[in-house]
Amino acid sequence: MNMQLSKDEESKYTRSLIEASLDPLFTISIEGKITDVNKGSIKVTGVAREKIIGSDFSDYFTDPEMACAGYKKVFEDGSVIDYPLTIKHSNGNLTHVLYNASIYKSEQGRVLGVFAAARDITAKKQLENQLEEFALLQDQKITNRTLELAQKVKELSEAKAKDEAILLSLGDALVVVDKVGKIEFVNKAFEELLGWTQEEVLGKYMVEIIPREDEAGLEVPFVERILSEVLVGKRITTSTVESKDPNAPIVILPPYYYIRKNKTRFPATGFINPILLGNKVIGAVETFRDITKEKELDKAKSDFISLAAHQLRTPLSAVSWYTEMLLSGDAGELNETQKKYFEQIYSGSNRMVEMVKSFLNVSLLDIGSTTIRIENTNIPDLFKNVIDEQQQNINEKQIDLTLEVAENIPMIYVDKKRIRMVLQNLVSNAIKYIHKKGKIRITVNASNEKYPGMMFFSVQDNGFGIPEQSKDKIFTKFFRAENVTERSTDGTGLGMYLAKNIIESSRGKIWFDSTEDVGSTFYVTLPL
Amino acid sequence: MHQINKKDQKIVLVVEDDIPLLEAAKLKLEKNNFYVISARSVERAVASYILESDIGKVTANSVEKVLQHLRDLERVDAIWLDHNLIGKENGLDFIEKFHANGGRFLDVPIFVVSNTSSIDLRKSYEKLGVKNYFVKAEHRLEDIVNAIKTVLG
Repeated sequence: MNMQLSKDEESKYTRSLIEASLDPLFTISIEGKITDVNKGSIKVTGVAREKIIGSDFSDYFTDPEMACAGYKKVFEDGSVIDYPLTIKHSNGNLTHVLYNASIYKSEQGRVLGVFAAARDITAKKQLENQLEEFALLQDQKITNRTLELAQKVKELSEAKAKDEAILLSLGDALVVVDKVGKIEFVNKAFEELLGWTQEEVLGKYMVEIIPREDEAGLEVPFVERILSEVLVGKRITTSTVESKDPNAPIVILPPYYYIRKNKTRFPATGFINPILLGNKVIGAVETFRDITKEKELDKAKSDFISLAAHQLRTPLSAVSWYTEMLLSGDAGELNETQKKYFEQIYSGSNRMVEMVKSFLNVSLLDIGSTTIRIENTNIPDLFKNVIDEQQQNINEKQIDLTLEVAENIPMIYVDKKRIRMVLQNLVSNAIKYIHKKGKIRITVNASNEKYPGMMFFSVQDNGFGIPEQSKDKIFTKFFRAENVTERSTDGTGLGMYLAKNIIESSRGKIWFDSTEDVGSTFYVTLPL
Repeated sequence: MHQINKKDQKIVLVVEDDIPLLEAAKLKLEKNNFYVISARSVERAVASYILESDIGKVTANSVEKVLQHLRDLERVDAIWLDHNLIGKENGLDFIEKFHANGGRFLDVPIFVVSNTSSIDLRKSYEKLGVKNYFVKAEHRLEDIVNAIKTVLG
């Protein structure tokens, strides 16, 4: 190809290149006037060629000063790259551009002007603006969310603070442990009662740092602590005067003592509740309080009652014995009338003695649940003991009494004293309400088919029995059936009432079968 | 009335604080041919009071009384013992002091006749080896005396 083009052809060629560029091109004189433009420039400014040429370069920009400064920089530095400007079209449209400009010289090296090429970054800028807007919006959203969350946190903190305040202000000591028994929280009452601060006990094992011992001072081993048993999910059935609900929290039974930091001890009573998430035990909550004052009060009441009983019994014994001696003729033979009168006196004093005995028992019960003492009890042995007590009466009436104990009867956790009272009552009633040479049969067995998981015993006699009309009143206070009162045997009518009370508080049942003049059988079940 | 102690009469010491009951016990025991000595406190029962009282209060008569009491005590065959007595010491203290003499004193059958039905108290007495424990208000006088009679043969 012939590369030798004429000057004219060269000029035309160059021009066509300039016009072909999509970027707006300008040449600018030293005075800042536009000396040449291309189609792109005309398009972007919307001004005709004739008008543009000779006008000020800076006229076509939103920031004329910036534009001036721009081309002046080119003259100074020789070139400028990515200089941002905004071209305004005559119709108002804006085009954001970046200018690349440099000076051009003649062949001789004389500066002729500035050649500036604009790159349209409108779309890019728009995107940038959108992103900025978007970011702002996001920021706004985030700010709002943050505000919302802050509000929620504030509310929760307030609620938590409230709960903590409640827990802290509880009169009872409270301790929360995790599923292995480490202390997670204690309240103020705990700190005051035991002498440990929250910091000192957090993270420690409750059963280690707060030992528990019984009345005699024997420490309860960690694994036997009820807290430990609750944490492994054991359900302990125990006797309580208050609750018959199988889902009730487990009561720690008195008397037990907690040891303070300073090694002194105090009697306590309380509750332990497992913390459940679904069916899993994830911890436990224990509350307890110092019952020193209550114990002292109980002892005072108990001492008073013992004293009262003793004081009442002494004159009663005098009346009884002297009347007995009179009736025996020790002070001379009595006539029939005298005998009758003395018999009345004797009978009256006997009834008083029984009354004192029953009131003593009832008062002991009313003293309250804090004197319940649950211990491992051997029921057959208890029966034997009670029967021994009654031996004289049994011999006098020549009663045939048998005690049948099944094999492998386990010990059960009950209030020994109170259950003894019940057995005493059943046995003595059987002996009382029977003819001479009567038969009494006592059976004890456990977990038979009819009463699984229970201890079952019965006291059967072939005595007076209970008349139909009296049956539903047997367990009420002060009730004695007519067939019994007529036969002048003494009784206060409190025994059965007490028995029912005790058995039911121990989560057992007591009932009977009876036929008048044939005999009665009393049945008792107690949970194992 | 001062009963003459015949050689074959058994001696019963009654330690009881209440006078009417002490009298009743004495009456019934004497009716059953027992010779009865009595005291209302541990001090009097073991006759230790004479050592502690002021010299002025001690007379020949009181010394004679004490000596007689001690002579009878040495040969006592059975003891009727109440728990609550006059003074600070009770039935349990009496047994401790009585047994401190050793010898035959350890074998004398003791019948506790008290109005306290406390099971713990009963156990304490049983530990000390008493023959029987009666709750006064729940037993006929006759029956207690008969029990003593039976044991002494």
